[in-house]
Amino acid sequence: MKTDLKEDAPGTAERVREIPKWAGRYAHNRTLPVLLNLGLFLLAAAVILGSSTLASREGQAGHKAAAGTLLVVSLAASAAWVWLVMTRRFGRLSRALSARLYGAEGTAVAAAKSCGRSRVNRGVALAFGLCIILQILAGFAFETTIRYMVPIMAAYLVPFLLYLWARQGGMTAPFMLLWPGLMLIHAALALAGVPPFSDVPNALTVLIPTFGYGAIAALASHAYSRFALRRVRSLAQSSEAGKEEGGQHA
Amino acid sequence: MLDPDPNIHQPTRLRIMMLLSGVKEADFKFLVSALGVTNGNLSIQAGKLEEAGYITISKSFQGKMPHTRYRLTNLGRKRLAAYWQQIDEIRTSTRT
Repeated sequence: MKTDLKEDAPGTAERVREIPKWAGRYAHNRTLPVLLNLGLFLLAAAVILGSSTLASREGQAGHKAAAGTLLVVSLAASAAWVWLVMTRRFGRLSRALSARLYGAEGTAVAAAKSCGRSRVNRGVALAFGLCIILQILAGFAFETTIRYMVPIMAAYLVPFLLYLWARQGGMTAPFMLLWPGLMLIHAALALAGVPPFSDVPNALTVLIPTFGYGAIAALASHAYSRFALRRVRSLAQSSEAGKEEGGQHA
Repeated sequence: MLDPDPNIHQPTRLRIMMLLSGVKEADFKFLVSALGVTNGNLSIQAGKLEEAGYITISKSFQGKMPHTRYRLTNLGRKRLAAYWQQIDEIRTSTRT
């Protein structure tokens, strides 16, 4: 029987054995959808934070009706966002966009260890959404200074991101751990009194670490997926493949 | 010594199995581009693996476009592990 593994191609067996590892790494690092979701989150954050900031200004100017309306808009946008994220529609939209982004190279879905715990996942997503709403409300009630906004956000965002990472069996791109890592460093610096973004508007002081670090992590992961894909192709494309049993190399 | 499993031993089929063992599932386009084979070749080889019960093939539509997904079965995973064990034994015996 014809084979390319026994003795005719030294190292071939070792190369073929590497395929699952690199295929898995490629699948786990397909993070363009993360970047896309971050863009959608940024849009939602702009609406929520923009309306809440305007509400605060209107309140300080004594326009209570306008401030109340804007606060309702901010809370409604937050609730709508949480609902959207928790429903399956968002997942379907995300998958469709992902298929479009990776159109030329097809789809490889990473193996995940804990897909069945949907109740836990929904509970965590709900808790995360509530934390965001509570932070906005706390900002109004206690006039939280901008110095503590990032540390407060890091207190729930970092565990949430770590949960997402662990949910996939800890096999997601290690690069994605850059996100909570950078967020923690930023929070620690802010608590220590170092103003990392002193010359930017207050809203950006929160948005830059929240979304910027996520984008950095997703881009690093995406770059690694390009490397993994090239590796998979070089390992999987055999000169012997396709020559047998109906093989018709183009 | 027994010959290795003929369903897996063909190079394209072996590589299909190896690719699928590293992921939960993959679609037709990914396998074609990763393996560098023609559409017809992949269909034939994947069909043989499906007949053997080593992979499952699910066909659906994404809009108007057909979408074919492949997944390794538990049997396929076991046979793949057994195949490598056998290859190792053959290689060890040919060296000695």
